[in-house]
Amino acid sequence: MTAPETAGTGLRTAHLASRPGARPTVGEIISVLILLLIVLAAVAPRLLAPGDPLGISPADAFQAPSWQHPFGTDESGRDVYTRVVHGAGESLLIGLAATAIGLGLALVIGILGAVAGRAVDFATTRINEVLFALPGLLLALVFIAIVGPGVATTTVAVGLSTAPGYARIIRTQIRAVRGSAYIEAAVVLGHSSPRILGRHILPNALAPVFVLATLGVGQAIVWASSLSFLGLGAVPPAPEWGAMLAAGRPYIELAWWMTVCPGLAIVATAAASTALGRSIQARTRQGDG
Amino acid sequence: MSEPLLSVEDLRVSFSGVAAVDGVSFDVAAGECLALVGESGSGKSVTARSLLGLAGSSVTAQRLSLGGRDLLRVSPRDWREIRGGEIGLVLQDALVSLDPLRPVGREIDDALRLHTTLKSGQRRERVIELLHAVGMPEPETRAGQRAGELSGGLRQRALIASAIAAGPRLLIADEPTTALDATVQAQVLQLLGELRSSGTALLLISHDLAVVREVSDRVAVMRAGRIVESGATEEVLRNPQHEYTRELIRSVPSGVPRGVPLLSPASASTDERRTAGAVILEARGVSKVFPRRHAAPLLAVDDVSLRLARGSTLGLVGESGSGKTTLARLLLGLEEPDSGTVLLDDEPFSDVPERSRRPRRRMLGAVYQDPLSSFDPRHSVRRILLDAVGKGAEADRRIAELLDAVGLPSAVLLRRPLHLSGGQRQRVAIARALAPRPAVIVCDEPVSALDVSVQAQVLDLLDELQREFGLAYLFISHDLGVVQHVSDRIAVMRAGRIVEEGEASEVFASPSHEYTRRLLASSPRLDLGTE
Repeated sequence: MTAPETAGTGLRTAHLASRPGARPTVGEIISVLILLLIVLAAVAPRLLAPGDPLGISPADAFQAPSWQHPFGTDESGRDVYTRVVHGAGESLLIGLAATAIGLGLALVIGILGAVAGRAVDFATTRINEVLFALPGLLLALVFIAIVGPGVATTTVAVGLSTAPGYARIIRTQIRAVRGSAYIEAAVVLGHSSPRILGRHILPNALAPVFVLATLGVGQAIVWASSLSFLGLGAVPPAPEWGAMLAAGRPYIELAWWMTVCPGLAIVATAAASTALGRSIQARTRQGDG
Repeated sequence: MSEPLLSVEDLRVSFSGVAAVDGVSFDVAAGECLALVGESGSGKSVTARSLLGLAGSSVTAQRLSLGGRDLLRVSPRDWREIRGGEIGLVLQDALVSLDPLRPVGREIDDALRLHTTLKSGQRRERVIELLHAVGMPEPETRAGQRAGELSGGLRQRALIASAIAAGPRLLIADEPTTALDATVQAQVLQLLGELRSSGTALLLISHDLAVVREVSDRVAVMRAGRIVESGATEEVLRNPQHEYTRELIRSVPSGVPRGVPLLSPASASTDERRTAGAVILEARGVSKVFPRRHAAPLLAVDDVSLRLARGSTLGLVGESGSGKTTLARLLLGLEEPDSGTVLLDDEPFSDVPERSRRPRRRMLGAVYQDPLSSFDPRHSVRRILLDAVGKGAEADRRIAELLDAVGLPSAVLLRRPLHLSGGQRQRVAIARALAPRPAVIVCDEPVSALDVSVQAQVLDLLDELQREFGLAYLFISHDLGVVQHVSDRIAVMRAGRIVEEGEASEVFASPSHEYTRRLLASSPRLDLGTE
C-alpha cells in the first residue's frame, strides 16, 4: 500500500459525540413503559384488574400462579395480581406526596438560608447538618414513634427525612447562581432584589433540583414500603405493597409469590423512576453546553 | 538554504467529513522561525497537532517529514519517542499543561528520563541547568515547587524547559504568550528568540501580529484551513498581497489615531475634538482591602482618585492583579470602598443605601470580557433585552432600536447567546448596557476574548455609539494598543495604585513613571508606519 490514505493511523481520537436531542435508549423506553403502566394502575386499576382486591375466598387460599391467578392467591384466597395493581395508587401517592412534602420544606429552609441574613443561614445550616447526620429512615422512625403509625404519618415522615438533603442542595445552588456574572449584570441594570431572585436566581437554581426530585420519588416509595413492612404505615388488608410483603413473610416457604410479586412491583417502580431521573439529569446537563 | 528540517506538503485533516486543514504546505529549516497566523477556527492548531500525530486518523499529506523521516509512517511506539524527543510542544496555558500535584522539576525530569540515557544524578543537574537556561530565578528552589506556586511567567518558562529538555530539533509554540502580561510576554519571546539562535527550528502559532513580527523570520497566514499568503515576515506585513492579510493588519488598533475607524476606511473626522463635558463619574481617594486567610490583607485598591468626563474615554491599563477590576466594581457600586467616596453626577454613589442607589444605577452600564457568563443561560436574546428595557408598550420598538444601534439582525432575538458568535454576544452585551440610556459604560476587557477582526468591529462600534449618544467610557484593558486607540486620557495602575495619569497622547509619547516606560517598552507593537 503506497496510498497516503494510510497516514496517521497511529492515534485515533474518540468522538464520543453526546447529543442532547438524541433518540431515546432502550432503557429509557422500558422505564417510561413501566411508569406508564404503574400510573395507569394507579389511576384506573379496574382497567387492568377488574376483580376486588379485598374479596376473600378461603377455598382458593395459597394457590400458585396460574392463568386464572397470574400472581397466585394469598392466605385468604385473594388474588395477588389484583392486589398489586390496586396497591400501585397508594404507593405512588405516598411517593409523590412524600417527595412534595420534602421538597416544599426544603425550598422554605433552603431559600431562607440563602436569602435571609447570616444568622438565619447559620442556624438552618447547623440544624440541617444534624438532621443530615442521622440516617433518613431513623428520622422517619422517630417521627412515627412520636406521632403514631398510619399512612398519613408515614408519608409525612418520609417527606421530613428527605428534606435536609434537598435543602442543602437548594442552598448551595442558590449561592452558586447568586455569585454568577449574570446576577451582577442584573444588579448593574438596577433591578430590585426580589425581581432578581424571582426572575434569575430561583429558575436557574431550582431546575436541577426538580430533576433530582424525580430520582427521589422512587426512593420515597421504597422507604414508605419499608415502613409499611414494619407495620408502621398501611395496615393489612389494605393492598399496599409493603404491607403485602409483611403479610406474606410468614408463608414465604409455602407461597413465595405472596412476597416476590409485590416486591418485584416495588423494585420495578424504583428502578424505572431512578433510571428515568438519571437520564433526564444527563440530558439537561448536556443541554447546558 | 539546505534541506529543510520539517517539510509539509498538501496536509489535509478533516473531522467527521468537515475539512479543518485543507491542503497546507510549508517547511521550516533549523534555526528558523515560521509563524502560522490566523483567527480561531483557521486550522492553525490542528496543523500543529498533526505534526505530533495528535490530530486523529483522518490526516493525509503528500509529504510530512522531519529531518528526512517520514512522519506519515510512524508506529505509536515511535511517536512517543518523537514527541518530546524530536519535537517539543509549548501550549498556551501552562497551568493546565503542567501536573498540578508534581513539582515542576519532576516534569522536566520526566522528559529527560524518557528521551535520554542520563543517570538520575546527572538528570538532576541537567534540570537545574535547563531552568537556568530559561531564565528561572533560583532554579534549585523552583524545581521543588508545584505549578500552582509559580506565577504565570515562571510557569510558562518551566513548560518551555520541559519541552526543550530532550533537545528537540523542532519546537512548536501554540499561542505561548497569549495568557501573559506584557512584561512577562517580552521575557518569554526573548527566550524563544534565543532558542532559535541556538539552532532549534521554531513553529510559532499565534493570532497576534505584533508578537509574530518580533520573533518570526517567515509567516504563513491561514484562513479556513488554507494558507492564503506566506513569505518573509517584514515583507508580508508591510506589503500584504491577499485581501484577508490586509484586513488582519488593518484590524490591529495600535498606532491608529483615536476616532479613526479601523475597518471602514471612510472619512474620519479626527479633528472634530469631542467636547469633554462635565465630570460624570469620580473616585475620591477610594481604597479597598480584602482580608485573606493565612496572609496579610490584600490592598486591592489603594487611595485611587480619578475623574471621567461626559462623552470621553478614560483608559485604565495595568497587568493582571493590579486592581483594575476591583476599581471598576467600586465605581459600579458592586463593592463598598473601605475609605474614600465614589461620586456619580456630583452626588455620592458609595456609602449610600442600595434603596437610594438603585434608581441611579441606570446611569451606569457595564460590558464584560466574557459576555456569555453575563447572560442568564435560560434566556433568549429577546428576553435579555426585554429584561433591560422593561416591559411596556414601547418595549419592542426600543429593542429594535438597540439592535439597530449595535448592528445585529432581528433574527438573533429568538436565539440564545450560547448559539451566537463571540462578536455577536459582545454586541448583545453592549445593546443591553445601552438599554437604560446610561451616561457611563464601564468596559472591563471588552475585546480581549475576540479575534482581531471582530475586535476591530466592536471597537469601531463603541466609538460610533460614543459620538451618537455622548457616552463616557471607562475602558479597562491590558492591551496597550487597544487602549491607545480608544482613550482620551489614560490611567496606569500598578499594585492597587494609579502610578500615572494624563492625556493619552502624552502618556504614550513621554511616559513619566518608570513602570509605564517598562510597560510600553515590553509590549510588542505593530507600527508599520502610515501609508
